[in-house]
Amino acid sequence: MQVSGWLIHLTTRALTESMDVRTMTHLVKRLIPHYDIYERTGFPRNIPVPNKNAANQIVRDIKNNELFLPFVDLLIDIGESGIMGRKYRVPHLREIVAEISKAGFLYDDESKMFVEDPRIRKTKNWGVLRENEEYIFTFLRLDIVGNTDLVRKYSPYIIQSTYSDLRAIVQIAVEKRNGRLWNWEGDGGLAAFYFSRKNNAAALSAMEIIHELFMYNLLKCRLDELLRVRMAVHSGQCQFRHSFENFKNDIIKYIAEIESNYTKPNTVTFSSNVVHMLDSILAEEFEPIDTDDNSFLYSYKLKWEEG
Amino acid sequence: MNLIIFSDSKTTGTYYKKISGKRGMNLEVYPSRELKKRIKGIDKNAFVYVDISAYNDKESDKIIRYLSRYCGVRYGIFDPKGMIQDVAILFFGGASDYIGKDILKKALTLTRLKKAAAFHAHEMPVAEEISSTATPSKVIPSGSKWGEIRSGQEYTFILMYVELDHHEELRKNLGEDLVHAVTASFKKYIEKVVTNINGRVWIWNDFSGLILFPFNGKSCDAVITCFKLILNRKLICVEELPFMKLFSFHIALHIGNTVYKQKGKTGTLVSDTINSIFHLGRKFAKPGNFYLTTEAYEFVPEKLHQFFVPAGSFEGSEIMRMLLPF
Repeated sequence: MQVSGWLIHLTTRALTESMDVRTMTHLVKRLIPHYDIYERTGFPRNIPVPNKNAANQIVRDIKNNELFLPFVDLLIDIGESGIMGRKYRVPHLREIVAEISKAGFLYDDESKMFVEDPRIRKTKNWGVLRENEEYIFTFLRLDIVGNTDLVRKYSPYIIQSTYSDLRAIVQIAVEKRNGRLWNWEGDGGLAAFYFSRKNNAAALSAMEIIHELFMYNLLKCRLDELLRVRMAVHSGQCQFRHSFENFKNDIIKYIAEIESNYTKPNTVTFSSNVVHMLDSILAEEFEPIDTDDNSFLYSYKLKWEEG
Repeated sequence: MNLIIFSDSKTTGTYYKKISGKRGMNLEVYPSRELKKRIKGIDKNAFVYVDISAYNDKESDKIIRYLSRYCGVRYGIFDPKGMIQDVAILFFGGASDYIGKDILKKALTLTRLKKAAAFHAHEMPVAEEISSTATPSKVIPSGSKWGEIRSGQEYTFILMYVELDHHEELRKNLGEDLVHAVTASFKKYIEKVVTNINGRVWIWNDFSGLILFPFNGKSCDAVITCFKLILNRKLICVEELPFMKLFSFHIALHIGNTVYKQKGKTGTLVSDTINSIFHLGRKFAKPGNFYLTTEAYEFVPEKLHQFFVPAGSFEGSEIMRMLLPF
């Protein structure tokens, strides 16, 4: 994110006017653990660093380390919850948040973080997740049933246009709930959700994909048969990597396993840790699946009243 | 006002002697045999009187049934021979006036005529099988651009009635303020959805609304939109409405003719099509369901037919119902 001079100025003033140098240092150490204000400012250790000098230096260092947004996250947090038992009224926060939103980032109350405004841009890391850092994601995996047979049976044009329609259905369902399609290969892909109510968002996306695919099969599909998919939704801790090839993780392996082993065509399988985090109105829609290994899995499929 | 009388009586002239020649009164008199031929082309704002004495008992029953089905016009009955045994039946069937022999002798007055015309505007008949007049007798395409639709002109529109179910229960459980939050969110969502396919919320009351879509005579995207609203009801409740509660709503879809008036200026509008869709939505529809009249069902894509079943007839029109997903 480009940090403007005005934003630097506002943040420096916010620090200077709300806390002493000791508190500022304590705060910055949460992001840069061995931060030494004397070393950074060049003041001798026997002279107290003036407030304004310390704030200037800290904000500059934070910006240079690309930690500006997490630092403002901290300022918002101490403005609400305090620090070391003491409440701080951090001035200029509203202006800072407004300035950041002009740069295309919104504050997400649920995760207490800034996240890129999806109306402006959609990047794989929501503009804020950092390489190799651990985060808890909810994943949605989708696989086209009988891909090999379909590819053999239909012309490349029909396959390409059908799969591209499917991808559009998935992308719309995922991105409108601030998820990201991290990977899309010929026969399916993986979407990730991190912000807001990520489990609800992933579950709703999966349900919408089932419904949209149902309509697509009836009204638009060029195949002589139904286009069918299997989906799974699971959540867990995972290191963020910009390159999908570097995601070697048990969570990713497990979601692939429940998708291929326990999921019937045109249904979604949910792991128990997702279902337990869902609003009850949604969780009630899913039925438990019998598994051999005591995994608690749940399924959703579209059912119809008898005609 | 246009007044049209169908009568073979030699004394017809005495019936209307008090209003003939009054300013603003356009009077036309035709022989009874021309009733069926002429009624289809009659201006919807006209008032029609049919002299029932021109028919025998059997024929008069038929003609009354015919009029009640064809409620595209406001009508009354002249009964100079006192043939009608049960006058109330006429009103149940959609008639706006009945004039027996005693009153006919005194002749029709302008005051009475105005009252009769207004009566039909206020009255909302609920009896089934009364009318098919909401069916567009002739399609007057409203095109695809709202800018070309003129206030005061009659067009064929796609009409969608939508209503949140279980009002009383909601009021009891949530209270007025929260109910307002739900209905406002519901309206906002419906508005967003219909705007995408060129629809406009035309009339909205607390829990329900009437949406108009211009009709080009060839397609009806509203069918798919309504189908998807029912299909995605649970998703809509979770994402678009407050309180994470599984609300229910029902929809009725019809294609018919009405005079167009701008939103907010529909108070004086008298339209059988609008009456009909309101009746279908309020009196016939069951919670959570989506109904279509025959006119709208014609535009259901063939592959979706398997998801609709007959739901009986209402006001002379066969109604189809969408099977429910769960």
